[in-house]
Amino acid sequence: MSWLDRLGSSVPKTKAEEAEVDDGKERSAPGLASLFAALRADGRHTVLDFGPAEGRRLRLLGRFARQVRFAALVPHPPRGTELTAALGGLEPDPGRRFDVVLVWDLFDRLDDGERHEVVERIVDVTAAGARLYAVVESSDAVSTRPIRTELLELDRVRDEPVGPPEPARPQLLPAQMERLLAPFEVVSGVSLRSGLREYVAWRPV
Amino acid sequence: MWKKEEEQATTTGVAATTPQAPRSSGSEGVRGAVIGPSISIKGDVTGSEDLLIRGEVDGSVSLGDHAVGVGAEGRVIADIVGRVITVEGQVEGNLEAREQIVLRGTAKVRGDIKAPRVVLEDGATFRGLVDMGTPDVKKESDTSGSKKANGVSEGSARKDEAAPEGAVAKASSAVDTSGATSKKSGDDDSSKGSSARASSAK
Repeated sequence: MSWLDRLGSSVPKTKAEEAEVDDGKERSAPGLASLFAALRADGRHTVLDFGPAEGRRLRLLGRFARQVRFAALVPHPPRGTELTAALGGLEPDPGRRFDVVLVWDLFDRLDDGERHEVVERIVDVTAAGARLYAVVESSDAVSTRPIRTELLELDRVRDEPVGPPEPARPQLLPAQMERLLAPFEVVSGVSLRSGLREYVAWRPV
Repeated sequence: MWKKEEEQATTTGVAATTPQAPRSSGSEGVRGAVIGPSISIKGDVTGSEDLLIRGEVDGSVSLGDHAVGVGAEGRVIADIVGRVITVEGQVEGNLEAREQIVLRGTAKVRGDIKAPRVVLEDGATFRGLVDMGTPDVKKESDTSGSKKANGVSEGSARKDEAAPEGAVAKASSAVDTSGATSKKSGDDDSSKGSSARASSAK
């Protein structure tokens, strides 16, 4: 590329650099992209999305899924018995099991016992071979705000802090995440410059 | 001259006999019966024409091959079955449509929805399962490809261009293409063809 071409334009980034660019609220989601890349675009998947129902999200997920359950538990999950009741309602059609689970940043909003309760429920309602996506804080922030994540494209999201700051919970380290997600196996963990870490996990057949 | 007089008389006659139709809420295009905002029905609603619910229904709504609309003021605690279902108000129950379900920006729906085409407008609140049917069901398709317009996005069982062979790209440019388009003549709480077996009413 000649110097004339570069004038006034940014130097092309490598994929790794692009993944780490913090575009403010909008960011790359390489972990999410890798999850979608592993799915069949045949409309036969059954998705459990812990996020809110949104038109664009449904349109994107509709490329892969016949069924999508929107749990709407993030960005403000219920706690205690209300969480238990909400988890009880997460059912696919009878005879089916979810094979894609999008947890988003739910784990950062819950206590340890509640996290395990969520994973146990996910295990109950997923099939062998299911894939799971979650994102957690990877910085030592003192406080955090719940994040509403808008799915812009299969590899790009917009994170919007919503609500007042909350005291940050102890960071979930990679080893802790691996134990938490068992029997799902973590297949990738991507640290983003935005201070988040994406996990993609797979439930062995 | 006689033509003008006749025209005047006709116009006057029309004005005198036809009350001005109140503009229905965004579920407009649903012609047929209307459950007005002051009406509350507890029971099963069935019929053979379109229905716009602007009041309250607690029970079930089954209109098979017709359009069902829930207006912004509508409150429904019932499963709804229709050809096309458009929601602007509140629904607690399952929705099943033969063609399309549209949740407008003011919709608040809790339940499962099942239709080949589902549209969620920005602002719609929904919690439940979306079932878009089997991907190999043949449906009408339009050629513009799925697109987002005015904050409206949709999901469907139809696949985009990257789909494997055999899938058909489905598109909907707007939600307004569904259902009937003529305005209703007015709030009509007891139109022919619809029946509401109400066990009680306020």
